[in-house]
Amino acid sequence: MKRVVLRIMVILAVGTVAGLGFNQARAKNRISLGRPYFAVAPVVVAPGGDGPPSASNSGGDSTDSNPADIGLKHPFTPVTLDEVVEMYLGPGYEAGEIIFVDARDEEHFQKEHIIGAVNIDNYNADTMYDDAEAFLLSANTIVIYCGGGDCEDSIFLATYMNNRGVPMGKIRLFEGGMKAWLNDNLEVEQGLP
Amino acid sequence: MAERQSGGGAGVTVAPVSTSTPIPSPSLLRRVDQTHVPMLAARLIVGGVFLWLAFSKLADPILFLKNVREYHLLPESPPIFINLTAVALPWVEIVCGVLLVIGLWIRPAALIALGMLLAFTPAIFARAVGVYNAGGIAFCAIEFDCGCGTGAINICKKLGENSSLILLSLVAVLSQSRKFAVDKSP
Repeated sequence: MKRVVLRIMVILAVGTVAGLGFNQARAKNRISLGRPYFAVAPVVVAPGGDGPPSASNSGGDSTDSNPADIGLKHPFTPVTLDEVVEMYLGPGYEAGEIIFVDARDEEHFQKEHIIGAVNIDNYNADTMYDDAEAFLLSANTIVIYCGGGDCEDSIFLATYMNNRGVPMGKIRLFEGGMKAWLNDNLEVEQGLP
Repeated sequence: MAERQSGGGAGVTVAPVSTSTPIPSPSLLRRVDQTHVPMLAARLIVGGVFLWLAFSKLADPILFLKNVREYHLLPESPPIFINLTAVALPWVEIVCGVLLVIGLWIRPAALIALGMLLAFTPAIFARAVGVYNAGGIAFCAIEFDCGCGTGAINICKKLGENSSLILLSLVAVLSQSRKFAVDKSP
């Protein structure tokens, strides 16, 4: 019995070491052990109750809210399809004052995305955000979207970007996402920008 | 028939006396096990399935990470629990799969396989019940990606497969057969 337990521990240890080594060797889709991929910025209600939700961008513990709830609660300002289209067609988008960020993975982004959108995959955000940081911080409004439906990656990416220093007031969440955009037969482009 | 002669006598024949005790016949399960077929099937099927599913998970680690989260079996904070599980679990499956196929450390490998199946199968069932309660869809019409490495799959089929794998893992744990195994010790 003791021998069986010992061997079980050896198997688990060998599997874990192999997994860590293989993960470290990955050029893409490497899982960062300490990164809270599913963190959601907490919804903070002002004392007294009825004020608008707010959240800090201090980079502190942002996992207080429970992402397991159906219908993830988040502090970001949602925008409708009509509002997104208005921004897309307005002069601010072309001037770079408004930036659309696609939170899906590169494969989905290459297949189709809103014209002019920047791709920052939530699960490969560290390098992708670094590359786009200066551009993003220069914008007045950043609209983040993902696949739509039950997709939550735009919320997770919004939290990540907020923790990296993008002010909460600049971030908008297009919850309808790519699904709503395509359902309205709006124009898309393929490939990388 | 045994015959016994009395010592010193001149060939006097006495009544036969049985000296042997009855040998208990092996139970049906033991006899089936001695054919080596159940253990061999259990090792190859469980080991093969674990290898196949592990490589499917390694192909898209982010999808597997999302699926691990969907079960809510592990706390999301601190994130190391869920992240390390997504990194290590496919490789533990690979090690178990290889050990079962070659027949080395069979019992420990089968116990780990059994443990994983017993942890995830009720979780798959609970998730399916959640979908059933929310959606008004027939239970056996439910399909989702259970994170098992197969993509979206019919849940009744998956539960049936897992039940079979649990049974086969039990066979691998309990069987004494070591035919075609690298390690011959029980």
